[in-house]
Amino acid sequence: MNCPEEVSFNVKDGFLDAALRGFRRGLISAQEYRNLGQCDSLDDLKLQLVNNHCNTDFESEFLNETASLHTSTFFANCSNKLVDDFNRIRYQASEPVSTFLNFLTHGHMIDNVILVISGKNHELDLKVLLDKCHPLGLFDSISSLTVPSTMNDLYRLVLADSPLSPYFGECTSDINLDELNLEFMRSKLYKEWNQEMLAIAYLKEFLAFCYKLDGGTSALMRNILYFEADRRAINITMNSSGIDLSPDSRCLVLSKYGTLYTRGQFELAQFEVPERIRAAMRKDPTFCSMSTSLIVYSEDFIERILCEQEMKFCDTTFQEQFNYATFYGCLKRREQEIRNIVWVAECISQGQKHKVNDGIVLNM
Amino acid sequence: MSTTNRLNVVPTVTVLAVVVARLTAARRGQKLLKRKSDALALRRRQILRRVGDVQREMVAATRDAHFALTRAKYAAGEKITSVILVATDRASARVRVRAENIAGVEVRALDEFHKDVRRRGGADLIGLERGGLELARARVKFSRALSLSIELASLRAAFATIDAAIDATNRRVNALERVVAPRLESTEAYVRGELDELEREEFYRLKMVKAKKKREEERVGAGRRERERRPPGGE
Repeated sequence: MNCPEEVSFNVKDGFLDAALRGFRRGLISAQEYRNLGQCDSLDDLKLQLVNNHCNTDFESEFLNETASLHTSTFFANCSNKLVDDFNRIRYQASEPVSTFLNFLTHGHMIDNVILVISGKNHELDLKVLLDKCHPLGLFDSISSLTVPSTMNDLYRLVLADSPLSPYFGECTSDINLDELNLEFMRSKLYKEWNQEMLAIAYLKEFLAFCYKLDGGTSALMRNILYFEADRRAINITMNSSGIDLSPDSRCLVLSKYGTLYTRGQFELAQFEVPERIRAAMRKDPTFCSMSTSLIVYSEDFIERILCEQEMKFCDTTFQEQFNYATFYGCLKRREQEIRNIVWVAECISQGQKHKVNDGIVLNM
Repeated sequence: MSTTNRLNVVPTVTVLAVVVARLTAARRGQKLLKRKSDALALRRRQILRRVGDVQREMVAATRDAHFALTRAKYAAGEKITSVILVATDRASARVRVRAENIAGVEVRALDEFHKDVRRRGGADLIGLERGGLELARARVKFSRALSLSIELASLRAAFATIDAAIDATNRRVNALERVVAPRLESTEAYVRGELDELEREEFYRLKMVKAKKKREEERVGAGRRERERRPPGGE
């Protein structure tokens, strides 16, 4: 470990780190989830959240909520709170934490850009589209995305100034921005395609950035991002099994790093049968245990298992001191918590309370 | 009664024939309409039973579908719905109206049909990164709920049409039975009565004529006998 960095860590980023650890304390525990699952109505759930979880982050948001409750209210409130907290942290961050935090928002930005572009192709209203965008992924020039009419202009005028320009540069370098590709861009297949390519480029840049940071952060982030890449690879393989997607084109949307890449991602791209996926997973120690649990359960559980694994990774970031990966872990866990709460709310409102436990991925 | 509830006709033999013909036609029509109404009622009972079944099924299917959507949202993120909404521009399932003939009543039925079932377009690739399986599952569940609701709509439309048709038919049956037939019957009775009366008059007249003739004859006969009894004088 590099001593001077650890010495100066608390001087620069100690406050933010402490804030993050505070957020972590505020996460809902397994016992509390069980209590939440006992609620009979959404009002009960709201009361539980407001009263009993004084260290959770929802109380202030819920107080001014007098209209009839809907599950989307829970989602909106929770994610507003998350965005607020995130922005508060971001305003106080200095380099390199601020860049790190910016990287965290880029994933949402990519989604938003794709959403706006495809919405524009269907001639939807810009305001409606912006409402649908994720608040963490908004940037200044996003509203001008709908102005350019050709792909070339789109890139040159808007995206070049946006934080996403490196990724677009990456994935547009091997294709010409001519009329033909504009047509391609309009076809939806290509749109999804682009999104995957962008995501790969994003993960790659993020990883490169993390390598530049000090030892603790880069090691942790390397683990997490490798895992993220592997997770994407496995999910894409699983999800594309019903779709016509040639192994070659599938290779394109799989990222070119990750533990599975080195050990056999190419195999993964060729296979569709779950047994083969399992075989590919068994080659890696991280996924080895998962592949055995896959045999016990069905492949339905694969996303859940991957998600649990991700949460584990996120939790390890808190066990180490003096690193920036905590920011990533905290954000991911807060997002997971929102998903859990929405899941509980949906289960309650749809009268499927016996399924509450299926959806909660706990913080391990 | 016979004076008020009857057609205003001249009581002749021709009119009687017409009235009798109309009466038979009305009776036959009533019988036919009754049969039609029975057939429709049978059909209505069948539809009613099916509507109940489909409704129950649809409630269950819709609940399932929404829960599957929840799962999909959980897996793919809350924003996935807007992504899908933006990416889809044409309906994959459509309905076609088909006319069906039930006991002479034209009933509209809805047929579901899919355009491009194989190629589902860009929606296929949504959720590639996560939640794709759950999305596909939710899609199947929702299309099941959709076809059930189309069937329900079709049954309900058929039910409404048949119900109206039954009402109309029953009204017609009743009108024939209660109004038209009695009126024709009383007309017939009236015409027959009048004709009988005429006949009786005729008969009486004939009788009188006959009696008069007889009297005349008797008088003529008595004179002749008188002349025969008294021989011609010449003593």
